[in-house]
Amino acid sequence: MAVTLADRRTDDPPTSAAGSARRRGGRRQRLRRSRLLLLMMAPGVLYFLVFHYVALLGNVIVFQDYLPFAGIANSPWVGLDNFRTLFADPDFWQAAVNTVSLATLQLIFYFPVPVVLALLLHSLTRGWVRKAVQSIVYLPHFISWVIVVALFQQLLGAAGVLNGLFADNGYHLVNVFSEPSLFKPLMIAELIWKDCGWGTIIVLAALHNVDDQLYEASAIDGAGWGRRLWHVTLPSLRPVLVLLLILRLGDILSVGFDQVLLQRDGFSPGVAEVLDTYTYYHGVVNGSWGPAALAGIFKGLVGLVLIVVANKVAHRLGEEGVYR
Amino acid sequence: MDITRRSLLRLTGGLALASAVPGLAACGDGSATSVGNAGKGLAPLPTYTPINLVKPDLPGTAQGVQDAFLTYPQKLAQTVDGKPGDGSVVTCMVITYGTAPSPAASNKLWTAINEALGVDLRLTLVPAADLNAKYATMMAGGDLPDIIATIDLAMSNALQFTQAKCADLTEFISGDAIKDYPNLANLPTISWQNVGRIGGRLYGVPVPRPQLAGVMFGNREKLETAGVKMGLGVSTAQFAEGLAKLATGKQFPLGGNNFSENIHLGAAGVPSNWVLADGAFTSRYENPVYPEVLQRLRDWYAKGYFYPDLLSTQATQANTFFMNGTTLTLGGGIGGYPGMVSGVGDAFTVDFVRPYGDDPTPWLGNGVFSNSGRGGFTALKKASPERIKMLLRVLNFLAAPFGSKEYELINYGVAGVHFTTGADGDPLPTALATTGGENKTNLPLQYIAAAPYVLYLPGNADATRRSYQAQQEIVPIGVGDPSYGLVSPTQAAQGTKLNQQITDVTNAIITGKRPVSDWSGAVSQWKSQGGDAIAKELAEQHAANH
Amino acid sequence: MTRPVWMEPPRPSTKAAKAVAVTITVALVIIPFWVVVATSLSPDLQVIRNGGWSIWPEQVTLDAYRRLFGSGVISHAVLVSAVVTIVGTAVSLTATVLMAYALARPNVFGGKPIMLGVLLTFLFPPAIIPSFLVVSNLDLRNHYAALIAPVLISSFNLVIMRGYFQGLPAQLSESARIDGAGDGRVLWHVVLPLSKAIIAVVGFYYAVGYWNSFFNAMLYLDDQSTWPLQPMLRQIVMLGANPDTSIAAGAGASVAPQTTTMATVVVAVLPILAVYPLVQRFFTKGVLTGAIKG
Repeated sequence: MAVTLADRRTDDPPTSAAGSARRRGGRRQRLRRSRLLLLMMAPGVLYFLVFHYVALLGNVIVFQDYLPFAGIANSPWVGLDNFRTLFADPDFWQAAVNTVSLATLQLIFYFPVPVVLALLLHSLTRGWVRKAVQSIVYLPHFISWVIVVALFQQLLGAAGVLNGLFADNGYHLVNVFSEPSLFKPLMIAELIWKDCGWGTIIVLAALHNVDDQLYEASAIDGAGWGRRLWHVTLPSLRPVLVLLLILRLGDILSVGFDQVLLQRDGFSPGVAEVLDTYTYYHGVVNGSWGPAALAGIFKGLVGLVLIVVANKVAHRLGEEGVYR
Repeated sequence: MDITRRSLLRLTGGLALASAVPGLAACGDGSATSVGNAGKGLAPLPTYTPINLVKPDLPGTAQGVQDAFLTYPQKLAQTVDGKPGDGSVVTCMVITYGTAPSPAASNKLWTAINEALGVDLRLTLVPAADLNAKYATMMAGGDLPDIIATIDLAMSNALQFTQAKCADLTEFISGDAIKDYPNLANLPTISWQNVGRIGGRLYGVPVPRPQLAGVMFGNREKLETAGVKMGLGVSTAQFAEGLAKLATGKQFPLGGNNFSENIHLGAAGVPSNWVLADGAFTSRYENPVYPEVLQRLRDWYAKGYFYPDLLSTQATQANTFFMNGTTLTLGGGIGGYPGMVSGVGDAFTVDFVRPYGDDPTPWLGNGVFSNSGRGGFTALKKASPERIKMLLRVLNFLAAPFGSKEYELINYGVAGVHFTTGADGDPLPTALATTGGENKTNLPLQYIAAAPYVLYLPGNADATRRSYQAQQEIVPIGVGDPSYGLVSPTQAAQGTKLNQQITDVTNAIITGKRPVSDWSGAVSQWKSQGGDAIAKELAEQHAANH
Repeated sequence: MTRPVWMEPPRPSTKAAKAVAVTITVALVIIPFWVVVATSLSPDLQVIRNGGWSIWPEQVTLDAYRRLFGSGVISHAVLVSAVVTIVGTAVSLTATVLMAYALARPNVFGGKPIMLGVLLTFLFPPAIIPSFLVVSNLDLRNHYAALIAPVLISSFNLVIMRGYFQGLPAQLSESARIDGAGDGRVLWHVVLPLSKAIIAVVGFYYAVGYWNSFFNAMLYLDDQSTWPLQPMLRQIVMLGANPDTSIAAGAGASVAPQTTTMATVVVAVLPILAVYPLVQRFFTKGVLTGAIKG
């Protein structure tokens, strides 16, 4: 694509109105200057076009009763039926509410943890300790949710270690995996255990790039640990943290499909149904591809609104954000 | 509920099962194809021609008790002459519950089977967890394998897909035509019935299963010390008393990874999913006894009889809890019995908890294998009659019954390579079959086509007798589901979702999160959202076929 | 690294608090991992008796690992995974760096719409069936390219890397340009040397993504013996879900799936454990500082 556009640079200059010509000329000049950059982007652009945008065309099935074997061409069109079914279902909105509240708690209680942990790890002065600890804390990321949940049950379940101690001492069981009020704390505890070490990686990489001279100057000015953190470390981390936060907001309605699906039944869907599990039970398992696609679009639209807003806020704060 | 009405239910259930004209529902709503059978000439089902190779030590019954064998037959028969295949490549998509087999070239079991079949069998093995996604993409891609096994009625539009894209097998298997494939003619009529017809024609070959499908395994010694004997006639009160005695600190009498409501409903006399009376279908949810059962299970849960976290427990873990005595019962499929017996070893005796209560109506299954339990079959890609016949001969080989050389090859492998013969004549797996992975779990031909299931646990005659004894007691009072073989479009499109909603309410009630009084509202909702439509469609289908 | 000169010596109380925090953090990870390893090395019967785990093998046995590697399929899968991960990471990283650099340049032609287009793909991921049809129509099915091409660039990684490039001091590349360097030379000689840490991180993200992915192999590779490691391990973890037998009874053997399950965790994690120190090496300090001073 880039090449064909570039090939046209020898065309005669336009002879229309002067202003338009200047604008066009400016654009053409920009195009010429961007030739190499466009070439660099070409593989990526091609990838996104083919594997994302062509595939995204498949979303027209939100207007269909899609039958895989018949294909889009031969599946019956049902207009807005899928919209009506989905948005008229109180369970859908219940799931949306559960999702938003879990996502909010994740933002508050999970998002900062990797940053704090990274600061702690970064402050370790003995090199081998720091490296060893770093390589250990991110390991749980590689354990699948099935096994993470099983490990938590070995500890906290009715037949687990903790309740075993309780039972031995004549106390009653605590049903951690079915008490509705414990659903969100449990989800967040599991998430922190599994992923907070993994989350430190990018923060650590950013911390390594903080200019040492700033620390030095700040220390000479008599700033203690706390002031250096506030005036040097955090401002240096701000761009990457803002980026991570905006991207998280775009994906806010994904709160962990596997994790929730595995534990949803115990807590009952009133508290534990989230949009992804709702879509699974109302779309995927039934082969109702139209409503499933629609729920995906709903999630994307909510993410889009949040990204746009968050990006605006980021610009106000003088940050680059995800786009400008 | 009085006895006569109960017996009537049993009778109608039985009638529906025995009737020779089942069918599948129309897909309706203006779609070009119609999978319904109403008003169409119905192709006769394959004629049942049983094969009796070996006399069972404990004979099964027509009602559905399995043939049981205490020892392995000494002389094996050959049921297939020559090679069924023509040397061509045969592709097949089938479910797997095992791990990946080594490639055909280096796999002695696969090589031997290819050699015997006379084809180059190329398998696309689909892990159970990915079944729906993989089959949906296969259908969407339109690039079908020659043999499409484990098509599941729970997959959306399974019937429409089969009718549109798969081979009509009627002329090859209907009526006496099946006699060209004697091992397929040996499959019981009920399994063909529950696969049913599509638009009056035959498309699918069943993978048969025992009639008694869902059971509750029990830790016999523990249960008996608490007064729960392994036989019929334990009253509900006695059963509850036993549970109370057994529920101590870290021990939970009722285990599993769900509440096994079917078992408890059957015990209370709620017979199967649907009841057919006077041509009308009534759901189990509308049974007045249902809320009583919910109340009972709710009490039991509150008293700690159930393992409290069972709803978020994985099947493997639930099995382990049963095997180590944390839980004393376990709901499961009867096919899991041999594995459970060998997993428990000498720790205790694995037996079957009999339906308790005064007049229980234990539920029978649909007699065919499917991943979802709703039913399913194996179909063939459209091809020339010669090729269809060749593929049917391959299926015929795979369906060879117990006591044949073909059965031995598929289930135990090659003598001296995959198994050796023990002192009592039982086939004992070699290291190549166990740690080497060359076994029927990893090469799951058993889900493409199979013989009627027999009861045989190598080297464990006692365990075989226990299962046989339990089936002798349970199957005669068992009730089948009259909706088997009838498929309603609403059920096909909404069934999974509707079931999930009602299961959610059931779970919430039993675990005390919602009051039992919420039940009637949930049932009304279920009825209005599709339950009534399903009942109506089932009745129409049933009437059209009678 | 030792304490830099400007940093005051830590107070004993700070030191103690840090030590406690680090110890607790490490213990929270190490203890469950110990359970995983111990269970994988324990006899089946012990694990069953104990309810699915073990903290100390009564007798160390490699049975679980033998079951995994007995047929040779898993060893082959490890090889496939390694190759797909290495090739995939190299290709993805190259494509991402190039695109991120171009998008990070101010006023690049089409930069803004392309960036928005990328962000939209982050918000609206493609569904299974359309993706399958695209891969199928490109004739990529049953080729290892099907494990790489559909996930070539992660929009998340792209955004992160572009953000990093934008944060680099502009005067460095500007002075190079004044000296007559084109974009290729600026990227190679100025930007990349300053970006080792982020390249290491994004490369690691890609590598882990390729290593962990299972679904595409299931979807696009029909012959199981050509699969990489993760879909096979996942299959083993899911073994207990057979409605028919409800318990995995391979050829009548008594099986404690937990030991095998835990062994799969060990097998999946070990290679990553070996790779991470390599990544850490790129977390070096002073590259940026040195460059600015120079």
